[in-house]
Amino acid sequence: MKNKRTNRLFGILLLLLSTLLPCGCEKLLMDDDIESTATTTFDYLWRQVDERYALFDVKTVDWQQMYDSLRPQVYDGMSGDSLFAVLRKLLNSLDDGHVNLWGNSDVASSEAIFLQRYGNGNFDVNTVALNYLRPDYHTTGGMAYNSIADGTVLYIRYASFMNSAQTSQLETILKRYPEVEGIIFDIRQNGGGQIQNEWNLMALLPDGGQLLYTTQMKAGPHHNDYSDPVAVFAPSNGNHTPITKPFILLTDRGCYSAASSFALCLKNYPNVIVMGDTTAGGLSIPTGGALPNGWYYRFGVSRTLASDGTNYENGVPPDQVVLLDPIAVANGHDNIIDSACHLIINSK
Amino acid sequence: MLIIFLVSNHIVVGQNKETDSTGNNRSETAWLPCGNAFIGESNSLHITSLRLGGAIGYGRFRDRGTAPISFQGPALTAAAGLWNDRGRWMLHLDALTSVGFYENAVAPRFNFSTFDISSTLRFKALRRIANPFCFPDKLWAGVGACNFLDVTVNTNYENASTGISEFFGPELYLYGEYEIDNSWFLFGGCSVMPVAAMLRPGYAYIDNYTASQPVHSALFDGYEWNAKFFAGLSIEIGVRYEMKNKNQLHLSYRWDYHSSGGKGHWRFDHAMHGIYLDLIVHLRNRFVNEK
Repeated sequence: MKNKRTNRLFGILLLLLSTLLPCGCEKLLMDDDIESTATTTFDYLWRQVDERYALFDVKTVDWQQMYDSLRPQVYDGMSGDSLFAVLRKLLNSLDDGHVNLWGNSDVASSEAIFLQRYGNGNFDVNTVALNYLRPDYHTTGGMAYNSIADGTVLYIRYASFMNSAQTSQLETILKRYPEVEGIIFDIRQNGGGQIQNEWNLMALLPDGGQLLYTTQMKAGPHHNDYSDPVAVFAPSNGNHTPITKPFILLTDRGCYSAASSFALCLKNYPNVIVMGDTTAGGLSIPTGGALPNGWYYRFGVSRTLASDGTNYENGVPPDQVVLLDPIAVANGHDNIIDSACHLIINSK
Repeated sequence: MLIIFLVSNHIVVGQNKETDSTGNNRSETAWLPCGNAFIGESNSLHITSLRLGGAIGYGRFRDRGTAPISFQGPALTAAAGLWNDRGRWMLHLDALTSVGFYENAVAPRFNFSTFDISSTLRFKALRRIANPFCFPDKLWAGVGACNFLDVTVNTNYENASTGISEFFGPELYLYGEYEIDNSWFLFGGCSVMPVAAMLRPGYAYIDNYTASQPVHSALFDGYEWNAKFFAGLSIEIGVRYEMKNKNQLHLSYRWDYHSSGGKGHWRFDHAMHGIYLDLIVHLRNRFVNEK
């Protein structure tokens, strides 16, 4: 009897002690997080970009050289602001609008993309609003529109792919203007957004089963490790009546990401002309993560190749280059829209 | 009226029917497994029970596909199960879902921007075994299968915000129990997943949504299958109280750990500590002569 009691006490004690086991096991199995220092943070970010960034083939940066030049500036114990400045410089060397760093109280964005957008913009919002959209303009979804050139051309302004652009909405707009001879679709200064909106709009362009682009994901640590290319074709029109009239897409250096991708796709449609300036690019899919010190980053992990195999990551060129003329703007004209109107009217 | 069945020399099952002061009939069924009733008698009681419960806990995960640091925070768990205890065998089917609100473990600022939703579906068959140790009153060992699905959502990660980790594999169990008195029992157990098939995000971590593929394809085409030895471990200890109506209350501490193993982006670790409170409702008792 005494022996049984002793065994029982021993067993209970053993079970209670086993509650300590999980903590020990977790420590053993899950090991500690990487050390949160300035040097580990710099090294981690540099390596993440080195192994996962998908666009080194079209960037002029020597990534190893960036490490060699910036790494000596990093030391453990340096201030957060100083480390942020070094990491900003590191990431800025990629000239990529899909590359960002979020610190505790600051955000680093591509300076090159900023300068392109605001320094080389091809768009004057006041001229467009006052003389083309005019006060009696309409809005459906994220698209503002009105007829111009004495009712012969439909002008649609789509400022952001973040705004709604449903197939039915574009269809509604087109039905309001059955008599127009062509459509100007203006995405200048459109910084991108939801890629689904591209597909919604393309559903009304004639489906010839044409190849739009191929896409690949980063699939390994070396700069040229990509997954097999996936070919993407024009979406079906389904029950919709496709637009067969001339369709002119206006672009500029403010078009980024989904807006660039839209321009890349539309170059494959026979009735579409892309006019204006080269876009700012940004055809990759950005992904994000955290650094050892808790800051966040993002960069592109895919590449998109045009139907001819060219990588337009740094900008999709227009079919017709037309730059905004400041003298025309001073006289209340957007010479790019005027050129598009002229093209549509003369294409009859 | 009191009816007493002597099933064996170690188990007593009784049913007490009487009329209370309001005139309603009341009945009460009782059984007392004491001793070796479960280890070889030809007669046994098959009990089907419903498990309803939940837990408060603290979880931690690290997904090296997106970060070298772990995220941790409080979690709530809901648990349900169907248990069938049949003499020397116990068959348990359990489903658990946990929702955790996590923050960066490096610089916690009560900024719970990460959600962790994990779901466990577990079936186990335990058999009472001859006791190789001297201390537990009862000892079971068994096998089963477990599916562990974990979805982490970090709102700061843009397209990599959602990561799905799936583990499926057999489990081995060891479970022991002590009778403190007729109503109170101390129990403890552990399980290990010796091998598992796993699904984890691929190298790029995100799906290629520019590939214009169907949703199911876009969700999982970028994912990779792999296999891992020793992918899961659980340890549990608790007390259970058996009420007069034979329903039970379980209060236990449980630790669950899953790991994808490996290095680099593939590595995923998930640990959860929980204090569980479960009500075990007896649905049906059936007396079976096994001869």
